[in-house]
Order: sequence, then C-alpha cells, then structure tokens
Amino acid sequence: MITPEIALYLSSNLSSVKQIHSPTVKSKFYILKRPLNDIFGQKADTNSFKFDLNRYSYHFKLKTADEVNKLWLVFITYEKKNELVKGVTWAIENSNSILLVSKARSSIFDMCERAFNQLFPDLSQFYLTRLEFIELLKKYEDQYQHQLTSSYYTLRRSKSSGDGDKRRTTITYTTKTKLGDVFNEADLNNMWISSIRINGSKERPDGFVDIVKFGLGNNTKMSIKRGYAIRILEFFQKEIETVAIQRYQLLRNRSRIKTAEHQIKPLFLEFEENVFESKDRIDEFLGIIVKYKNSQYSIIHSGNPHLFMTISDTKDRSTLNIKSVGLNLAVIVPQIRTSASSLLRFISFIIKNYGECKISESISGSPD
Amino acid sequence: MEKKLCIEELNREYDRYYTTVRLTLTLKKALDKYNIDDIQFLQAEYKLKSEVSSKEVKPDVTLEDSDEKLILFEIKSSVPFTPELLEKELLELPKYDDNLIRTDKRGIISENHDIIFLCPLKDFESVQNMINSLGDAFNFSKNFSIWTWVEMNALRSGATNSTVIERKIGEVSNQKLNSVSKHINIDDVDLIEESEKSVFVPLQPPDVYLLVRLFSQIFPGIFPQETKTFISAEEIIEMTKDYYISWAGNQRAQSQIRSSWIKRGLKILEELGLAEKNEKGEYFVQPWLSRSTKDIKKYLIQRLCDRELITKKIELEEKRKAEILKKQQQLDQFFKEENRRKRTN
Repeated sequence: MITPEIALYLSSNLSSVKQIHSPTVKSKFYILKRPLNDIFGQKADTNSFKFDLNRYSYHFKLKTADEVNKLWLVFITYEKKNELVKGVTWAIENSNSILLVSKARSSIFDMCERAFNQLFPDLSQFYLTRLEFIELLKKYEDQYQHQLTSSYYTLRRSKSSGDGDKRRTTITYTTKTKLGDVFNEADLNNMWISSIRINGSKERPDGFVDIVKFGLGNNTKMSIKRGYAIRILEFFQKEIETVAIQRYQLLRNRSRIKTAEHQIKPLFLEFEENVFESKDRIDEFLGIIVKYKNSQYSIIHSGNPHLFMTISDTKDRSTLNIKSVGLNLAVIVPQIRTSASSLLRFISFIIKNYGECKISESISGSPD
Repeated sequence: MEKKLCIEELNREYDRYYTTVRLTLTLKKALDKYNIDDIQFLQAEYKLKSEVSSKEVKPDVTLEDSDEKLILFEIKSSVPFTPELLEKELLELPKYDDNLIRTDKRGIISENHDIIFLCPLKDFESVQNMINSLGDAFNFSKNFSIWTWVEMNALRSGATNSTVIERKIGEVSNQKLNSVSKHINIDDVDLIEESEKSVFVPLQPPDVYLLVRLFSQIFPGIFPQETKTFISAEEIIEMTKDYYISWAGNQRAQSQIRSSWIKRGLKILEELGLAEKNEKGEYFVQPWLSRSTKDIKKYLIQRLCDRELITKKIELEEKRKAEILKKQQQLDQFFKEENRRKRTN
C-alpha cells in the first residue's frame, strides 16, 4: 500500500532524481501469490537471485527500505559490453500485489521488469481492460468529489490496408477536457487512447498522471510527476488489486485434475470487435497468438468459421485450448494442468496485444 | 517436392479425422437437442458383418431406434474432386445394403436399416450429379438418403457459430428423425464439453492426429515434471480415461483411447527422439520442445515426413541392393552354366 510515508519517501526520492533525469516515473502492477519474503526465502537466503537472459547474466537483489510499510529497494546488476551496469528501483508490496516504480526511460526498470517476470507464477503481471479502467477513474471522482480532467491526450486508430500493412491515424489534443468526454470522443470516432495525462487532485492541481498505451486496455506505463498526484497512484494500486483479485479468483481451480469428475471449466472471452468474422481476421488473431512468449502451440483447426488451438505454457507447463465460437467470442478450456497464473498471463497477453475482452463463465447473448 | 506433398497429405489426413470426430459429436448432440427419445446413439465405428459376403462393415456412426432398427451413417469430411474417385467412393455404399449381422448381439440380423450418406454442402451438387449419371448402378433396396453438413458463422455479435445438417434426398423410416433432419442446427457452444472429452472416435486415428493430440494436449498433463518418471501405456490409459470418456452405448472398451494407439504413439515418438523407453517397456516423454520450436503440429508433421522419406529411401536402397544381388546371382549362374557347358564340350 502506498502509505503517506511511502508517498513522502517516493516524492523526495523522485524529486531528487528530477534534477538529473526525467521527472516522471514508470510503474508496473503485479499480482502476488504469496509474500515476497516467502518467494525469496525459497529462492535463496540472501533475498537475491541470478538469472540469465538474452546472453546477459543478471543479479537481482531485494532490500527492505521500509519494513513496516513494505517498501523494497530492488537492486539489479548486469554486465553489458564489459561494463557493469547497476541500478535501483522500488517495489511497493501490498497484501496481494506489487507495484514496481522507477524513473521513466530507465533501462534499469526494464531489467527489473524482466527479473520480476522470472518470478512467475508467484508474480504475474496484470492489466486492466479499458472498461475496468474507466470504472476505476469514475470511482476516484466519486470518492474524492473531484472531476478528473485531461490536459493532453492522443487518440489513435489502426486500419489494415489491402496489402497487409496497417495505416495509423493519430490525433493529439492539448485542451483541458473532462475525462468522460475524452472516452466518449474516442468511442465515437472508433479510436483508442494511446496516451493520456490525467491532471492531479483538487488540492494539488499541478500533479498529474500520464498513462500510455491505455487504449488497448493496457496501462503499461503509468508515470507521475510530483506532489499529491501520488494519491492517484495510491488509489490505483488499491483498486487495481481489487479487480486483479476478482479476476484471479475467476481463474483459479480450473485444472481438470482438480475439478469434480474432471469436468471442464471453460471461460469465455467476449471481444468488443468481431475478431473472428472472416478468415483474414482469424489469421490476424492467430498471428498475434503465435508471438506469445514462452509457449508452444498446435493448431487443431484454422479456417472459416473457427480457430481451435492448444497452447502450452513453457513457463509453468500449463496447457489450455482456445477456440473461436462466434464472431466476437472465444472459449478458453483449461486442460489437465492449468494454473490461474498461466491463464492470467495468457489473457493479459490477449488484452495487451489484441484488444478488449470481457472474461466470464458464460456467454451473455443468446444464440441465433 | 516429395516432402511438400507428404506435408500436404498429412495435413489432409489430420483434417479428415478431426472433421469425422466433430460430425460424430454433432450427430450425437442432435439426438439430445431435438429430444429424439426413441433413437439412441449406438456407437461410432460399430462392427457389422454382411450376411451375403461375410465381410465386415463399420459405418462411421450407428444409431438404433426402440425397435432395434439401425440407422447407419457414412460421414465424409470432403468428397473426391475427380469424377472417377467420386464414382468409386459412391459405389462402395451398397455394401451397407446387404442384410447385416450385428456382431455384438448374438448374430441378430439387421434387415431394414436406413443408410445415410453425410457429405459437405459444397459437394452436394457433384454427388447428386454423379448419382444421376450412375442410374441403375446405384440402387438400394433399403432406405437411402443424402444429408449435408456445413459450418455456419454466427449472424451477429454475441451469437455462436453452428453446424447445420440437412436431409436433401431420400427419407429415413423414423418419422421424428425424418422431420427433424430437414434442418438440424447445433451451436458450437453446446459442443464444447463433448469436443474436449472426445478427441478420438473408435476408428484408429492417423499417426499425425494421434501424435499431435498426445504430445500437445494429453502428455503435458501426464508428464508434467522435468524429473524422469517412466509410465506404461496401460497406466496412461488409466490416467486419461476420466478425462477422455469412452463413447456411449454398448461399447465394451473402458477408455476412449486404445492401449494399442498409445503404444504406437509412444513408439513413433521414441523413433523421433521425443520419448525414452526403459527396460520395463515404460516410457518417459518430455512434451516441451526447444525454445525455437513453437508450432508443435508443424514440427511433428515435418518429422513424420522426414521419417517416412527416410524409410522410403531405405526401402528403395534395400530394393536396389536386392536387385543387384539378384542380378549378381543370375550372372554367377550364367557363368557357372557357361563353364559347365565349356567343360562338357
């Protein structure tokens, strides 16, 4: 949780950083299956571990900055072109989540992100969908009786041309606009919000939160400037955690090895767009899925009208089937062994790289 | 070129079997959906014997009504493109027109069963034209009908895709089935559970289908750890039978997946270097490939084709050696006789 102490700590540290580097910070949200202490306790006695990735060897170490408030300093060291690169970032631990916060444009942050990804399935990255994010902002406005505005936002639209290339339209606005109006405008023009600056609180209007790539349901880069905009970040961590726990609960205990009489417990993905309406759209979806890292797949069937695949997660050896069952509907069927973390990783990948979808245990619409 | 053809053929074999499984499940589901209570799904690949020729026949799907009357389905995922092959395929259908002996019911003879040819809607016209051109050569004493199947896209967002089956020519004797078969529509979403629990029909799957299902879907659940645990084919059957249920009806088998199939699959995987066998005949499979290999089906198909081509090459080499040996022996014989002749002279 971002307590006032942590807010003060971060504010002072970030403002000292501000003088030298960019004044903004990056952050990343992770769901935590068990306390960080436990995870590291199992990995090593010294709260540290090493891992190799892309020909580099990384040394990753956690140190408590504030034990009461569960603020961690994350040290990372790696060698690049015979030069030892060192860096530090912060991890704020809540009961079920970790918020990784660092200076913006810091390669150290990217290294930390990779290091945290090594802790899968104990740690899983989490993304909100666009609708969930809008709900969260509305809740903030209600709670703090403060209408949020944006002073800068970019809308984007991608359209596939006949030759397979994607043409992009980007419009940037710099007028102060109510958040509700920004979302409405994006919807009306069939565009997504690629970046948005949310202005700070009533008390400190000079603070703001920048959110990038948000339009695809992906708040991968949340950056804060200064002062009490950190309240928004604090609010985000708490609320995102609530949504994340709900989603995690939905994904738990779906392995057929655990269900009564080994019944299947499928999940439905309902996309906003008709992503399976034609062979071309199915191929486009397939093109994204095959890029899913740390996985193997078998295409059971791919044609018109349906796509049916088996995906194996090489990170924790989970397996799932995914099948399109409608113009905008897919079903995910966990197999004999499928962890909730693996389902979360796969669904997050789809939301991040393909588009918005609602996850549920049944289909809302009635069949034709 | 040879490998390319092999890859195409294995993909076709795979698709044919997949479609057969899918249509079999669809027919089974149709009986439930349309409350055709007096007909039960008897079995896929039910064994019958011709009373005339004693030859065994196994329709893809067999239904049975309350009077023990049989309804036999010949399912086609596609029909041959060339007229000659289509004619040959259609002329095989009269094998079901004989009186048929039921091998599991102490020789009960089926005298008036229905015969249904189920083909893709897109092929219906060519099938119909061929039947017309065959005239009297294509004649049935029993009820014969042609049904078609097609997979349909949903009509709107939120709705599901479906498979539509329609009776186009001829009739069946059960009035309810006759009426329902004018238009059967099964939603994909209603088949999710069945298609997860039934990945095989009793017909032995082609190697490519067997391997892909075993390696990418079933074995990750059976061999989840890196630690080497050797398991016998029988144990695998035991472990999987609750996940992949046996086909309903009076099938004697306890499991959907046959022990002989598992053994065959494991043997091929061992040959491909993807399974390890111990001295007890048990296997360990590591169903996780190297990082660079992502598409398991493509990988297995390529490996199977390599294996087939190598086998062919070895066979050709052996044939060539045998021919050389034979020629050598013939020459030896010739010289022996020549020498003998010279000595005699």
